Amino acid sequence: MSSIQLRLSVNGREHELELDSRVSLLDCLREHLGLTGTKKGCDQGACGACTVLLDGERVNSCLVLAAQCADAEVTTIEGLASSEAGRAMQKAFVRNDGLQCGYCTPGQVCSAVAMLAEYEAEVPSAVGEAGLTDAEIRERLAGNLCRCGAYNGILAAVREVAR
Amino acid sequence: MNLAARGFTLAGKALTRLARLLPDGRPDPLAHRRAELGRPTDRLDGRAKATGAVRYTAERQLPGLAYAVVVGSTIARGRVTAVHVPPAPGVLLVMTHENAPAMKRTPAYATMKGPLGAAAMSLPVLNTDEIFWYGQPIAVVVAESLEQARYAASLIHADYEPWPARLSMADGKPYTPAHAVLEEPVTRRGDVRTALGAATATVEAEYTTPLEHHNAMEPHATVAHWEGDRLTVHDTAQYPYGVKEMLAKKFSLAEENVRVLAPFIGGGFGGKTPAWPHVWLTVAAAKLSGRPVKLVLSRADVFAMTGGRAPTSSRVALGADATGRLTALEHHALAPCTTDEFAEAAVAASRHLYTCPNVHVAQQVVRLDRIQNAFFRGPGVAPGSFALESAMDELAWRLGLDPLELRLRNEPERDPMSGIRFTSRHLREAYALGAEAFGWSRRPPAPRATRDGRWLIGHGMAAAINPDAVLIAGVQLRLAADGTVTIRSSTNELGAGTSTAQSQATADRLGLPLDRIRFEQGDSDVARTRIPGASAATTTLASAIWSARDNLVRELLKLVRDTGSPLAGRSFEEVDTRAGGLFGPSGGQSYERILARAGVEAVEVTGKSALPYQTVKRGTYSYGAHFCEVRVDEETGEARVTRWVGAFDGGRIVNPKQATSQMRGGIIMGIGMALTEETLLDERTGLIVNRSLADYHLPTHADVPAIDIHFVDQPDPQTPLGAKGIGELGIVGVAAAIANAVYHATGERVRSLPITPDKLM
Repeated sequence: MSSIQLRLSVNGREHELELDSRVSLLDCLREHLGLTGTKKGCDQGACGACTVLLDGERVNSCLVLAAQCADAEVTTIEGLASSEAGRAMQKAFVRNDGLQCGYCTPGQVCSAVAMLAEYEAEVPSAVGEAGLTDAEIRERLAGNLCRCGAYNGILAAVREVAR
Repeated sequence: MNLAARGFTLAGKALTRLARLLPDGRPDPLAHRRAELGRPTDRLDGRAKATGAVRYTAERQLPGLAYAVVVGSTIARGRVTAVHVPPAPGVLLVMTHENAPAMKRTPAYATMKGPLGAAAMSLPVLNTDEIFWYGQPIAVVVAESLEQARYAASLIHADYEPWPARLSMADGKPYTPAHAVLEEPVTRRGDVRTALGAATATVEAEYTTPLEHHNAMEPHATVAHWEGDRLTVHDTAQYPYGVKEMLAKKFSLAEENVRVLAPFIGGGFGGKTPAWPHVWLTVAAAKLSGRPVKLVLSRADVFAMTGGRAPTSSRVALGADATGRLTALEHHALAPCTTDEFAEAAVAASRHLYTCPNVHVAQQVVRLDRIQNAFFRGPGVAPGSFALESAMDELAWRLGLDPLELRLRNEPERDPMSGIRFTSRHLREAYALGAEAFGWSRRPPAPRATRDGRWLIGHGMAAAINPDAVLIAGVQLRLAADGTVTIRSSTNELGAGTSTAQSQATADRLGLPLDRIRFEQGDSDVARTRIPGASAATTTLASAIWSARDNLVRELLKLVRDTGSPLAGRSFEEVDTRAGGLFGPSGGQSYERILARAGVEAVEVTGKSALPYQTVKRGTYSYGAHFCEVRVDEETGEARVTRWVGAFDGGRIVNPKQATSQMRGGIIMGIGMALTEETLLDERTGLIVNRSLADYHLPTHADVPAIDIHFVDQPDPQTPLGAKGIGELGIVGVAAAIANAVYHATGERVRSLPITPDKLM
């Protein structure tokens, strides 16, 4: 159970941490940094509730050890509010009722912001349609589960931002 | 039928007779008022949720907090003979049946026997060496960190004396339970068998639904904190007041010494209605370790240590004459229960949906060595309507009648079972709205008639019904000198939009703009409030707030009594709350002015929900109609839902934006129920093998089409706000609509859920 010294950059802020080497990025954010906006739904990469941006790309933070993030920039839902893209997505989720209980929402928002960037960068998807069709958006967001079933509202929110 | 069941039925019949003598309630003047009510307001907590600012249970940090992990049994029935606990760093406590404090047995909530505390089961978990189900907690590890607790838990193993376990529905003897979620377990009228013999068309078939788990995105979590004999618990409780009552009993505490806080819940769907054993075990571990303790169930533990929807098996027989009128309706349903008798009452829909002279519905249960079942969105009616509404579709094909027309011909004027009137029933209007929006009349009549490449396309429909209930709630109302109003409630925000809907209702009740209202929720200590679910929050809270408004008016009239106010000397009946204040025949004053003139900071009152006479003496249900298009890949058997229209009678709709989302959510959960969801329990061992979200398949974004929602939006004349509960309604009938569309697409009738590709290949 060795502990590690770690410098972690989260939402533009540097943190000096001494952590159990087994601490996941997700537990580091929630239990050690008080950034509880990132949610734990399954702790095994199956639900997407813990989605954060690691150097701008979406990852399931439950599948990443904090120790792996020493040289990376982590952006969480709390940090997203300081970017225009993040704020726009958060507002669109509320306007289009793309949420109910709110537990999957931070992961959905992070995922949606990163997904649009992936699409712009021509990262392929399994659908592979021309243009950002509804089917494309649904497929590209299929890794974020919502048990309340807010998918129609989420799609509308993403559409509104992508417009 | 056993004695308890007979007793319940007789008592129910006597009550129904007596209930007809009850007075009517007061018609709610708000049922027709349109200011904030009826407006598609954005949810008021939306911003906090979308920015990650809301704190859920597991996010409570306390000084000195320790972390707990539960270890579950690896047999289904027997005794623990030894628990081996290898040393591990950071461990503060390993609690087993040998050192756990005594926790009094409390009745299981779902049995509805005695006090309605929230315990999910009455079994003495960790106060006995006996094992009752696979995955039952046998140890709780408390450590300084989550990582240490998890590692220590991984080292713990136990020796057992295994006993034979009853795990399959074929293992036990079916019997009639005392009641089927407060309905008669057996109802018999006329002669079903003779009617079936004389019918023009009949259907007799067996339909099954599997064990399913709620899988709210937020796993169950409890944070317990003792200060002397005072206990504070943050819990993912749908029913905070019930958890408070239950914990007070279990730990022999005065009720005022137990406080349960649960303002925001990350989805419940019934899975968080009762408190599962981990809740009281966390409290016990905090007591024993002398530290505040946080326990969050892993997703696998959510499957093993909290119950799901029991599997059901329904045998349905229907008969109709040549005109399409039902002459026989038989529904015999079987579901498992545990030592705590709770039936997944699959017969419920068959008791209230159609008129029929000859009826025999019977619910039976069989006791198994599994974890107690849970309420799950549309308990009974969701799985039971799969059977009934599939059978109705089969009957329509045999009669050569449009399935919608068959339903219209059997629409009752009064409740088919009791003969009592409905408070309102606008199912015909819902059918018409839905059929029109879907284009149902353009459906090609024959099965297997529409094709798009290798996809076979079919259309299906089904009805939805859910009982509506007004339960018990209390609220506190505080009117401040600046004219703002705060409502405090023990109920919480599960995602249904309760806080927004009640803020809208309060605004109109008091004649204030929405931005003057604050709604605070989830504190067990506000008032005795029994809204564990049952789609009852909207009407029950509205009733309590209505009562608080009346008490506020009385207090304000006292304040103006000896002043020069135009309200001075006015009686309660002469004044109204509107336009930001209190108004009588000769004018009025704003709330701010009344308080300023009286020189008071605030006026505080309480309110209690009224006894729902009017819904007790009549049948109150919400209704709906589903229309869908399903495509089936002829080669792989994969079924995909591609179009959906749902039309609903939920009385007056408080917030159409939120209500639409809630109906969609129910339908999406129903899509999962129809096509992918099934908890696989190994009937040799009791182990749940697919205990993860990778293996238990919830509908993903890519599985869900655009869902078009319509509301009849007619106020119910007997309910607060004119509203009826809609939280559970959406899921009811969805699986049947999909199965019916699959039949229309392929000519294959699938009678066992979920409709996986192997059943269509």
